[in-house]
Amino acid sequence: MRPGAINTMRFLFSLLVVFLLQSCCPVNKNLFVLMPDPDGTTGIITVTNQGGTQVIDKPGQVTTVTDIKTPPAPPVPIDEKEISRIFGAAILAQPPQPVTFILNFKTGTADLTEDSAKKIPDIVAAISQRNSSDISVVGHSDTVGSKQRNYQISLNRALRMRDILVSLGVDRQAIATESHGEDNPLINTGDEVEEVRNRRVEVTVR
Amino acid sequence: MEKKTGIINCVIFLSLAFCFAAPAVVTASDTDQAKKLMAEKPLPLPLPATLPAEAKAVEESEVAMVKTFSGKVAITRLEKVITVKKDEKIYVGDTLQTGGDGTIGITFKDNSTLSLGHNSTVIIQSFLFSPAYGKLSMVNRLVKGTAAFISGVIAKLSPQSVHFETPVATVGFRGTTILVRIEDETK
Repeated sequence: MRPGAINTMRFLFSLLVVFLLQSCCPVNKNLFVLMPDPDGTTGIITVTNQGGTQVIDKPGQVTTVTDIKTPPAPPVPIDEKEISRIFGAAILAQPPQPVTFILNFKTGTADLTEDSAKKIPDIVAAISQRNSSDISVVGHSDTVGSKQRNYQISLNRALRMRDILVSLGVDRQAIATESHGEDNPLINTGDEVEEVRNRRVEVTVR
Repeated sequence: MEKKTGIINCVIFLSLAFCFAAPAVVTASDTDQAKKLMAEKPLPLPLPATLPAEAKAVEESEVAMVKTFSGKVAITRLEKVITVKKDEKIYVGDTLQTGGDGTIGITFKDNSTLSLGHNSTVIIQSFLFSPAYGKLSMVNRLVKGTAAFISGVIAKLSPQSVHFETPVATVGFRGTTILVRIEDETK
């Protein structure tokens, strides 16, 4: 055999070894996996380094990255067993997903609409379920009236909501209140527009 | 004279009775009663406006809270190691580390959640969450180990403001869930 051929074979063999090592042992790799979101949808991630960018837009796909100069590898599927083997501990440690309740108010007041008042037991249940001491109550208004007045109305709504929760046994210290006034509408409207969906508090239980 | 005292006594009695009765009504933990209470006895308005300062202070201080942990875990803040407990507050600059049997899970103020598997280290590099003022930013750096991250409100409002950094690459988001593993270079 010609020496050139031997060298070529050696080269091919080493390629094969590298390939086998990579395919059998993802243990020694940096991995970036895209997962479906808790709400069932899936977003997109970009994995970028000095070598380039890789986009992943399908859940359950992984890109491996050797080092900061080597471009991230094209995404490939990763099976659930592998995911739980590598990421099981991190997944188990995930906190419960925060939940947000939106309650609406009668115009110009801190009085809950009747339908919204009915949501209160669900909020209290979510708090006790999570044993949460991490609750935010943010008040909002529609655009009727001055900015200043709407800030005050929104604040009153948040404080009212907090007091209701406190009256039900929730620790006052666990609740952070804020007012966003008319600046953070759920539905975009012009100025001086009555919109019940914007007259709201958002209660987030983390 | 006697009559007057009687009236005063009566007033004192009534106000005392009210003082005792009112909290008793308010602390009733039955949710149905609360609904009834809300309909019958609305809170006086306007309520004391003492809270904006308090709310602001909260917003400027901690950025996340510890929700779960197990095994060996440490939070390093300004070169001091802090004992981890539930509801422990996390601040920008904190380093979270888990040992061979450790895990930790935290929830950020924008509802993002981040959890670590064993032998992992993450640094909370930046966090700004003030939608009303358009100040939004979130950078976490996984130095080694495994992490699960579910992006929250910041990634929804301003995807370009959220980065998940590692020694080998940076992840950008469109509102999503990721798992990342980074090998320990020092091994």
